[in-house]
Amino acid sequence: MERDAFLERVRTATATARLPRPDTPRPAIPDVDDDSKSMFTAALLAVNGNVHSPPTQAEVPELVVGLLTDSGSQRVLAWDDDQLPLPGVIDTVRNAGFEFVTPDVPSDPVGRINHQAGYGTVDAGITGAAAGFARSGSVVLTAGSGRPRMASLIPSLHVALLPSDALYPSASAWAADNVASAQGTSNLVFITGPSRTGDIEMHLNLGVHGPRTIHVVLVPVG
Amino acid sequence: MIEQPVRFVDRASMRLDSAAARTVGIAARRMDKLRTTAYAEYPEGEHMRDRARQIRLQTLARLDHHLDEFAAALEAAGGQVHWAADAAEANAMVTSIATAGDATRVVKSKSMVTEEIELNESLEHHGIEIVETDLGEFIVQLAGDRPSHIIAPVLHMTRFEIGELFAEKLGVPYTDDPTELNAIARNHLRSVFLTADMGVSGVNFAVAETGSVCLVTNEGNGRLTTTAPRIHVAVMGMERIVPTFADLGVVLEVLARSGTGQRLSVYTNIVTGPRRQSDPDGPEELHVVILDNGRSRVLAGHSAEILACIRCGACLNVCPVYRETGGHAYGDVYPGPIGAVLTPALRGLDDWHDLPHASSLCGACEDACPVRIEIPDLLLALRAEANDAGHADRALRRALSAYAAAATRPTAFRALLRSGSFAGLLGDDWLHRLPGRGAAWTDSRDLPRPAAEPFYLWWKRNRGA
Repeated sequence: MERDAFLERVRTATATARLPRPDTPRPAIPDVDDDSKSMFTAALLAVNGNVHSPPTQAEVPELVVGLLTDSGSQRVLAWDDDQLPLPGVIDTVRNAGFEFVTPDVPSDPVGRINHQAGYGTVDAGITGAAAGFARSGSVVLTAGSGRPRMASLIPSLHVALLPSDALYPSASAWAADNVASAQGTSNLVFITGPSRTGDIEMHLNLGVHGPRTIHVVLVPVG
Repeated sequence: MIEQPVRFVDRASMRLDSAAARTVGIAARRMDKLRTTAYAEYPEGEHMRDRARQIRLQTLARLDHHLDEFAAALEAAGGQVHWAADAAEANAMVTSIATAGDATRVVKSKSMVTEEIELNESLEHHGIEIVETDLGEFIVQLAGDRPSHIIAPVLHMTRFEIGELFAEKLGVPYTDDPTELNAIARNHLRSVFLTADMGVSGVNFAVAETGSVCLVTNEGNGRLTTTAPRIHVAVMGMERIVPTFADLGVVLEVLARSGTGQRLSVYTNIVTGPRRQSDPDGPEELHVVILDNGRSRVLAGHSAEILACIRCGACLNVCPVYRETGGHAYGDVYPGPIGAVLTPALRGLDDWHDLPHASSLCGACEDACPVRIEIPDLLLALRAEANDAGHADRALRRALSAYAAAATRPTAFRALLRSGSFAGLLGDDWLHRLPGRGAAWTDSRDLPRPAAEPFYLWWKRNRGA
């Protein structure tokens, strides 16, 4: 159907639509909890995620190496070092002997499939995060140059580095202020804990398609 | 389409007391508990529901305008928009996108609307392999069955049945351990994802302001479907729009709380156009198919409010009828109270006039609905419409016209009321067996005995002049 004809049909329908006109919503109850860091931590723990809050930036690179080592990871898909909230993390991980997989997927169909076939053996992903939601324990990731989507999706372990001053109360609070973020990227994702399903008899299973484990490292700022 | 009885009562009777219906009932109660717990710790919850209701209803009132804005923004971001009047057009569009892109293997992320148009059957008919990737939908597809719940499609199967199914269809050793079953599905689907040419998804919400489509999943299959393959096709009902990105934040929060009792779903995936020049990965093409398929007719009529639905499934979980009969009794893609309105509204009352009766009108659905859709009112309106169209039960019509004749004649009406007092002669407070057609009621329950004296006589005696 042509666009104009389609929209004309919709326009005609709205003319006779019987829709209630709801009153102005009651006012929101203000968020009284001001300790967003502990709220974020509790929320992410509640959905089987992990939070780390190192006292200084200097400890972050070794913390990341430790998480990768403890999980038995070998192959890593990561954001570029200059896309992370703290420089030097990737170099430290590389020097610790981990193998980095190139995140650039070729545009041609055959090259694409051949490249992505290698993703089957990626163990760990390292990314930054643009924001966090204290209420739900979510992190916001935007795709772009040096920020592959697959790093937070294909491995069983995901380590996200979140600046500690980037916490918002909730998704709705963040969305109200950040329409430019949606316009500035082809892909924006809110991640709330590890991949999960309850499809088989409501039994909780983690890591059904996405990562089984997520670690959010709150990188101290200022 | 699976062959099934035409009437809701027959489909429901087949399933009452079955193991599947019991499983669905238990799960529905548990899911409802998760929802009420999630709202109990959400201080602004009622405010957010009000906001969400207002957003959805205001959007519907100017839907053409918002669709126009959405399409322009999506095209500006490099996406392609397709306008489908009905299921056949939508299926033809998706097929031709696949053919033009030499796609032979398609992965799919759970979507109600593609079930509504029977997209899988259409693609398979054209020799294109299509694989469901949501764990529940994957199992349903392997079993050649239909989903029984909006959010949890395979609620009706036990892990033992799933274990046998995997052993038979995937050639793996039998196990009924849910964790092992999960691992089997993950491994099987992983290689399918990475070699698929095209991904098909639904759309939870589309944002007019930014041209974004938003997909919510907990497993991550929605992200893989829209990231790994070269082509991403998103099919959306035309009413899925919210005007602004700020509005999206509101509806996402109530969707997660109402659907699964989560504060936010695990993956909220917001796609704005295909992969950009400097992006390391993502699809090369993004197509969005906007589907009418009866929706403009629903919008024009008195069921328009049902289009505000955000597909959370909360009304299923609270519904006493759904809890007893399970999703399959509703006979179509959309089960529960939402289906009892949406199916006849979309597909017409001729084949579905009994579905609005699959409700006790208790109102639990309206209470649970995050956008407060007045489902009982919509059900009553559809019943009236069916009656006007001549679909009512003939005996019921005769009884109602007799009642109307009596009720408009005071003497006759009083006589009729007094006739009810015969029950005063019976010893018990309950009637266990009614004669004639009334027996259908007393077969499974007792009827309270009518009062010995009609109310109007009592009033005359005690309060009358």
